[in-house]
Amino acid sequence: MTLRGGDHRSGKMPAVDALEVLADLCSGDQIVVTNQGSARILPKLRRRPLDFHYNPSTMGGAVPLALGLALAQPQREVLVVSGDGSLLMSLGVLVTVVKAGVTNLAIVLLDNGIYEVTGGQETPATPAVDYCGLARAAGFASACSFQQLADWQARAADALSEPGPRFIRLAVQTAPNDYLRFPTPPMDEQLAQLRRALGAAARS
Amino acid sequence: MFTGPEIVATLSELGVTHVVWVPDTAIGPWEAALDAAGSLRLIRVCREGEAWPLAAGLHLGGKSPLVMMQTTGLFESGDALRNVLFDLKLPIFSLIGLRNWLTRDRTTRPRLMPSRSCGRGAWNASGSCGRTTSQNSPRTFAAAAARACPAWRFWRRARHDASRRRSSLG
Repeated sequence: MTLRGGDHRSGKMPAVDALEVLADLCSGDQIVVTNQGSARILPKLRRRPLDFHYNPSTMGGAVPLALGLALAQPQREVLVVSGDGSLLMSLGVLVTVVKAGVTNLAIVLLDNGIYEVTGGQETPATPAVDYCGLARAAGFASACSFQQLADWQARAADALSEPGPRFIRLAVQTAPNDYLRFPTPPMDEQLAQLRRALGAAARS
Repeated sequence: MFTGPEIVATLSELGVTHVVWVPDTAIGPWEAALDAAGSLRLIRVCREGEAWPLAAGLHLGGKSPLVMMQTTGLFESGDALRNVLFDLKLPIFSLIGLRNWLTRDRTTRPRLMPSRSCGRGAWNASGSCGRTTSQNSPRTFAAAAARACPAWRFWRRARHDASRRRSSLG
């Protein structure tokens, strides 16, 4: 595989490749919520009715929105991709997820240590915060971290089939500009598409 | 102020499936009844900013959530409310407790008024459709809710009509 963008010597995986692994593993009836940088990268990799690219958003809102979907649709898996800056805006949501008792939710954290879409300023969490430790302490059933793309490729399927709620932290490089500038699909179009997909599934 | 069982009965009649809340002194006494309700589920969030997107997810997933918080929580969650209203354009219903309202006789007016006027101001500024009420019975509360929002009135009427149709079929 060709690595795209970023500094290959950083010891972190390229964000685009990390999301590509995720895209290949997502099942047909799974809801995928993206946010901030991932809401620009994933639509460039694939388009799918049950993908909801939450942009424009409120920072920190992706996980609670995905939790609402997981509560409303307990028969299907919900996966949310959040940036570290967004999660830091609302760390308490890890506790909210556990208290809500959902097992059909997976949080995938893209941890690059910066606010990527605003130009790359450092978050307060640099040099390092143990996000998996925070998730475990909040009561997540499983939490694991990946730094190298090869490890993530080899173990992603297992990590995503651990008991829920699941927390997966991926150490990623900054994304290439041509991905970050890719437009998120219009919100009205996305909402209509998601509602149609959920409604069709409910009728079938 | 009406009791927990009364608010549960009212919300059940309105078809609310989930209450997403951060309690305050006004709505907090309803906790036991909301928690025990079979017709709806109480979802506790850590801060008010989580409540609006969580309710949005429930709504998109086909449920009928109601957000409950107090005026100070409304201030805290301004960006999340903006996003749900203007970016997602979702009809999320809420019930906002007015901080210090029940203790207004024991507090000075200047202390009360910022919460009330700012709460109302924030609500209006957000572009939300709302109404301030101090109704003390579930029936008058439900009527106030209906007056507050045409969508709520439409929703209640639709549910009433559906209920009548079910009765006539049964």
